[in-house]
Amino acid sequence: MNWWALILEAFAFGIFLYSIVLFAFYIFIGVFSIGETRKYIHQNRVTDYRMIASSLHAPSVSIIAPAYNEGLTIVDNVRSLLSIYYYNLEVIIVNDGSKDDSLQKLINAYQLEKVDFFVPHQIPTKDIKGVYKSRNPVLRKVVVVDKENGGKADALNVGINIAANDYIICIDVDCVLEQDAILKMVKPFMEATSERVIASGGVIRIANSSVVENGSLVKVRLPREYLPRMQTLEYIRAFLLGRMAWSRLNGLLLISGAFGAFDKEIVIECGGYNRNTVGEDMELVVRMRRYMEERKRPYKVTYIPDPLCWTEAPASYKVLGRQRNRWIRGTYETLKFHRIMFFNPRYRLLGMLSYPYWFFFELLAPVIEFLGFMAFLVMVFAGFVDWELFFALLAVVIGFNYLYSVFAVYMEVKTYNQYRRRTDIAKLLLTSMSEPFNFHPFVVWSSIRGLVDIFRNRHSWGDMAREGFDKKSS
Amino acid sequence: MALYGLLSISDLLKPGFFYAVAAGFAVLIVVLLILIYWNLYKRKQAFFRPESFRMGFELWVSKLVLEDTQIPASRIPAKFAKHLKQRDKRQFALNSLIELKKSVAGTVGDKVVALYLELGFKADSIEKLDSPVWYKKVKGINELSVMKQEDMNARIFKLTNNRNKYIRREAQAAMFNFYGFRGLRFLNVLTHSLSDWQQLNLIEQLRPLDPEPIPGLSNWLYSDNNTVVVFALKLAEIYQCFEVHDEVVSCLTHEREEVRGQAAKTLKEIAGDATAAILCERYASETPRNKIVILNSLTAIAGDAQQPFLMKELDSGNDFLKLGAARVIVTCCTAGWGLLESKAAQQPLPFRNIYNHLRFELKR
Amino acid sequence: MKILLVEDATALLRAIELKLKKIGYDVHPCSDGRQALQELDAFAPDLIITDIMLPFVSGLEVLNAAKAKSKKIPVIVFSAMGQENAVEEAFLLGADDYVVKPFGLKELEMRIKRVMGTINADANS
Repeated sequence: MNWWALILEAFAFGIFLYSIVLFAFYIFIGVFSIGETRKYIHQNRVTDYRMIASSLHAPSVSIIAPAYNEGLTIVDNVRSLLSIYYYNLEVIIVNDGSKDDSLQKLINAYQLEKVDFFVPHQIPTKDIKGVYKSRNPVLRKVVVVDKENGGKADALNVGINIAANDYIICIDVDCVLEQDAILKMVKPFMEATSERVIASGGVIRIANSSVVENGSLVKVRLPREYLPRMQTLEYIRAFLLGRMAWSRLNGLLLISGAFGAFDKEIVIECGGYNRNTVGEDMELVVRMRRYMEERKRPYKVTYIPDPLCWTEAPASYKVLGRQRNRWIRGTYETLKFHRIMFFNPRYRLLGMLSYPYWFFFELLAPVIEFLGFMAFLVMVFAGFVDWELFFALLAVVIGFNYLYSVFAVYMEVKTYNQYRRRTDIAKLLLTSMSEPFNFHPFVVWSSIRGLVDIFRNRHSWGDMAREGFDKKSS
Repeated sequence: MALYGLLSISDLLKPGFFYAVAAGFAVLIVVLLILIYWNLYKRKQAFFRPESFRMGFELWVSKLVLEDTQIPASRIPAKFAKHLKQRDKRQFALNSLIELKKSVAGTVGDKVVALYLELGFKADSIEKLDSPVWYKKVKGINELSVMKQEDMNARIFKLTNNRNKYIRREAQAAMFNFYGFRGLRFLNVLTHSLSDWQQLNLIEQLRPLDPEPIPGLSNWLYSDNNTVVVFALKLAEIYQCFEVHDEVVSCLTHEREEVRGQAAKTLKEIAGDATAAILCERYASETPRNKIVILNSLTAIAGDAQQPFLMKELDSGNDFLKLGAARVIVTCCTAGWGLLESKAAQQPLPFRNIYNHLRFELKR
Repeated sequence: MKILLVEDATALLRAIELKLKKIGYDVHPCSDGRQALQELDAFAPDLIITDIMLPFVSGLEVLNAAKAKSKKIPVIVFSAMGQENAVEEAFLLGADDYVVKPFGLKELEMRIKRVMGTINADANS
């Protein structure tokens, strides 16, 4: 028996163990999400959301939408935000030093005028060039801020400083929200009595090929193109199963930057968004949780499974690759900043389960998957493992992937059923068949490139701000 | 080599085992696929089948309630009687009556209730109320409440302190719907929490009622249940209950932040001569959140007596609080604008900006 | 006279439709905001009656679209009880009258007559 064989065996065993734990997690997530979803749907059925829409006593909310070079669509996007009906609302658009005519378009469309505005400096930010409000009383909810370019996190921080209201909802400006989105997002904050809800996440759905008119979603359609359709399935899986299960455990680490609500006071106490990461959305949630844990204040991060926010997903491999590259870098940076929590019992579930899960199964997954697959191939070619075992294992892995996808589609049909046509569901299922051979390897590859980028550009943190921000993130 | 034998996955797990697992997955996938399509099929059926029934039923109901006929009319058309034996259609019909009752008042509303009784829907509601499943119970209470079936009050009252928050919420709303302020007596015995959401629910129901003295209000302000105290404070705020001023003041020293905050907010509406001074006294020891609330209340009730305190606050606290204090000065003190102007001259940052901000804000 | 009626509670929609047809109006019912926006062009109503909270597109949007089309089309909004704020907003957008739910159908009829009366009086003077 030679040592190489032993090492390879040990390696294979490690991969095997890893896969077992991963499978166990997925099964647990799938099963655990069922109960939570059922409960939510029954609870929704007996709730009258309209009552608070126009209430004076409802919590006050500021929507913050940062925009960078969105001139083509900005006027429609803002219109869409304004069509949401909620009385205690303020809509803050932060123009992050756009190089195009975004600001002028807004000024013209909404009769804006520059106003004297004292911005409390609660979070340090880049300079503000001006604050604009509308002369038209109907548009009194609108606040437009023009500032020096500083990246998405900085733009959001400016919005937080300006926000007059108790709760903030941070969204991507090109998102289309459903009518009742704010009502549903605000409810968890009002429901809590024994612990404080510090943040609440919402579902992002893919709007490619759907019909949007006048800023509202007129008809939901399954995306026609391959990549968006694949991401539709991916998002259903992540949001309907993954986040639902984690929120039931109160272990959510990520609230999508495209749509999330926060308790403003806690956000300010924590110092707002971190400008030194590309994963500012995840980093904020982790920091807020850590802050509450360290002060032993009872808190909760909740999550709403209703499809409330629709956005365009990247339709080209190039953009998708960039997005996934950024996601993994954001995850890496966030986990690195907060590495003290790794298996640290002081942080309870957060340290003992959420963080390790993200470390092993989100951050390391692409690496382990890649290395494991390569090692297996090597072993097969070297004759340590026979082909039959190789294919048998492959069949299990792919079979499990299909099972999980089909289960996610089942949950979707059973709950929100956005795609009603039988052919749409069939298309979605067929698309999922190609995932292990096409989409998934690409995502893994993009993530690995992201990790490589981290080690290559370790010293060039400062570039982040000038990157501007592309918005699609989930 | 014993160790190696233990670790050897190829010894422990043969391809056959993995094929079996994969086959297991395949079976599960097929089962799920069948379930998916079964569900889609059922949904389609559920959507199309009752459509014609719904149209017919709603038309019939509309005609009936608009005409000057009396209900019971004892002439339920045979075609509906047949349909109404089916569970889903029955619920469908009941739901449309509930919807209608929520929107219309007067004789039409009364007729809807009569129709509800005539069609025997009350028995359905009671059956739901008896159900051990929480969401059915909630639905039952809601139906009885909308249809004003006050004779069920004893049973519903017992549920106002139920462990399940949805059940107690609906029961509380029902009691209030039946009896107005008197229905709020469940607050005397409520040990479970009353969430902000539920408080708002009740408050929004309250609004059309004419203000009248609220029985039990001062007791609730001393309740052991913090959420009841907060709710009572909100009632005192909305209905301007000057008679509980002293009780509200005593809530300013409550141990819970949210109670103190709401008390400070309430005092704005029921202030007496000494109230502003009391709030200023509490200010220093308050949390930042409550400081903002206090400043906000002071904008309505402060006077020149508070000027020294406010000027001092301009120099302490964060920007947000400075702005708040400045707002009180310019709205409540006789020489407010002048004071802020001279402060801005001495110390342009940040007071020039604050001055301009307030000039603009208050101009509107 | 053509009335566009927008209300998502279909039983109520049906009842009002019947009532108004009996009086002699030409009523076009819609159960959601999207449909209403389309009908605005297709049906060219003389009066719009709309609920504020509607699926997909709010009644205020419908109101806004109607007033953008022509300032002269009168609009009456329904609001649930206690929604004074919604009503305030509706008036800012140019609503002509409002009816608070729950309401009596007689009351609605009177409001329609009053709104149409004042509009016609304006036109004649």
